[in-house]
Amino acid sequence: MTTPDKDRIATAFDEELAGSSNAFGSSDAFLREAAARRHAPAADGSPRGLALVAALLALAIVATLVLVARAPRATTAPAHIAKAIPMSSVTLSSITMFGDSGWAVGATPARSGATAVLRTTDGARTWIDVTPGLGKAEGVVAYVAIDPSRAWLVTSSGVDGTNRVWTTADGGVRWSVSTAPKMAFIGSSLFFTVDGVHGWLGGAGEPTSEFQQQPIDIAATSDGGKTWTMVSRSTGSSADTTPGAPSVDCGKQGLSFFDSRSGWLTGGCLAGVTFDSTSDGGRTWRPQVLPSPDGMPFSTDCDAGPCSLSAPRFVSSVFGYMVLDDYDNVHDSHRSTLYVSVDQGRTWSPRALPAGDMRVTMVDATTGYAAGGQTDPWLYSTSDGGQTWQPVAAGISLQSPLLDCVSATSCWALAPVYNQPDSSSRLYVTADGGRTWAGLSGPEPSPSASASPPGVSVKGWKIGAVGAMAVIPGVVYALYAPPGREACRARRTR
Amino acid sequence: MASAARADAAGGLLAEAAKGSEAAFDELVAPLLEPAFKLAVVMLRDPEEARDALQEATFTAWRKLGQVRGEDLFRAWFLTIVANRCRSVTRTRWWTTLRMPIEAAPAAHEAAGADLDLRRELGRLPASDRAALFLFFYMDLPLNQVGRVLNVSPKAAKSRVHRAVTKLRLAMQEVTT
Repeated sequence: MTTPDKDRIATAFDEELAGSSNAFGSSDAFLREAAARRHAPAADGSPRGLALVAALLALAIVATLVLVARAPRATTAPAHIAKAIPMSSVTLSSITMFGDSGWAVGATPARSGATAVLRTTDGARTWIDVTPGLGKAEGVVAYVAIDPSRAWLVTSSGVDGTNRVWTTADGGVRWSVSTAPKMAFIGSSLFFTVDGVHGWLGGAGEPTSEFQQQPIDIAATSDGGKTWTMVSRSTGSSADTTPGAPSVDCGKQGLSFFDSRSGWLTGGCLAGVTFDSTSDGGRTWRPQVLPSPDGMPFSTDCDAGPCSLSAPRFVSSVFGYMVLDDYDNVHDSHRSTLYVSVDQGRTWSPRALPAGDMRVTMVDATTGYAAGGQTDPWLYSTSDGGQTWQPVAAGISLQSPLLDCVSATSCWALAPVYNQPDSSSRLYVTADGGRTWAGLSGPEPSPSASASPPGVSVKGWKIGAVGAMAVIPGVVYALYAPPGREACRARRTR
Repeated sequence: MASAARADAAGGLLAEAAKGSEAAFDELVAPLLEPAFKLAVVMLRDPEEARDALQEATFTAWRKLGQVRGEDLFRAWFLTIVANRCRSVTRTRWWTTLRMPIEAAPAAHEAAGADLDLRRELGRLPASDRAALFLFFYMDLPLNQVGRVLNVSPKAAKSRVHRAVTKLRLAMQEVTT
């Protein structure tokens, strides 16, 4: 053979490659791996990983400079990709899970106080900082998680008040940014999208005393956040209030939509609650009748302290729910009421909750949990759409947790930590409907001075010379002063 | 009509993928995985490393989808990323492959012996030459696309193919004489 021709070279390559196909496996498996890689931390310490991170960082810096220089203009910027951060190193303020994947906002050591946007793919055990490249003095003011891959953010610049909306469809690897109308953001987050295409952004302005009134601007998008249009404005002055704008009464507390046209704006104050609805995508609003829990006027119920009304949330094509909290500031007590709708929000019925100051998470039209309260038990479950509630023997005591449930058995509880200056929340997870909880935030903090007094037996433990003791399932913390020393020491056992 | 429909479909997929649809991206890239993997094996001579390089390249492609200009160029664009990744791996390797002389097995017949010689000589070519031959002879890419994948002009691609074939021819003449 003296002249290698095309066929023989191709055949030679074929023979050479014949044994390598096993290393590749199937295309499906490869693509699943590729998808996981898109959502996984990029930095692995290897030269390849470091090179990739360096490239991403460079891209982020360049994109940020471009954005600052050329805004406003819709563009795409890569996220700041960082290593996976263990849950013990972050402090979350909000969490939204979809199975084992989810989103959160919170603080990380690297961001020194600035809010970070975080994403997990391992059930909240580790987090990836996917915060887009924000400008100087630009902070996250609201976010909405749509599914495991899609999320929207609103950021506001402390320099010139510019607001921007960031959207991602790939778990925060890439963000698209657009400029939102200028508006104030005071109080609750009023940001919602029904489908990742139609979205609304409410900017609540300076309230009057005790939130008796609060102006609001509402902007909307119908192209996935690329462009935003101001659709209504309520200022309290007829001169610049748009026709059909929502009521200026009460502090603005929640904004949500059932579809691209039907939505609600909720508010609460000493004088009662506001419950305005729209059927034209937010352009015009009208008060919707909401029966009070006890037949008394809301103005009477809320007179002893402010009321608050959460935004309706729909978990099926017809079933929605929201929670009214009536606070009595004279007796420091709450009365919570669940409202449910089985007709897409056209009518709402009150259902009593087992305790006050409760937050409700419905998994579907029948199954849900209520968490909070001022005394134990702090967790209740329902299997009949909130008509009856059963206490759950949780085995751990949490105060005012934010509960996020993805199924009838799997929930995460984000509980604030009191008397701990360096930590403001801890995350727990359950896989058995709340009967047992595992802490994801690392070792439990040492007990505070308010822990059980010396000499008191706690769940079978006798305290001798120790100063205080606290027990969570399987772990005992003891605070004691060694002889001859003034400083206390904390000990932990299992 | 059929190719126009395919182009429309590919264009639609590309647009969807550029908007962030992972499903569209997977559909777009799936038919290219096998040839891209083979290209990586040809260039790196190591199937495991080739698979890693292809994963890296697929991730890069996802992130840089916005740079594709025209769906008909997607294949060449993707293969370019794979080839670049392979070159980068070769450059940053902290180890080198020690190649032992291959003892030719007794040929069952003349053709088999000849193919063994050809395979041995192909294996001795540098990665860039192997890639050029693979793209041109195995994948049947036109020279302009071979050049695009290898980051050279079509004329340079033609020269590289010619040079590689000449090397093979000379080497095999030496074997037979």
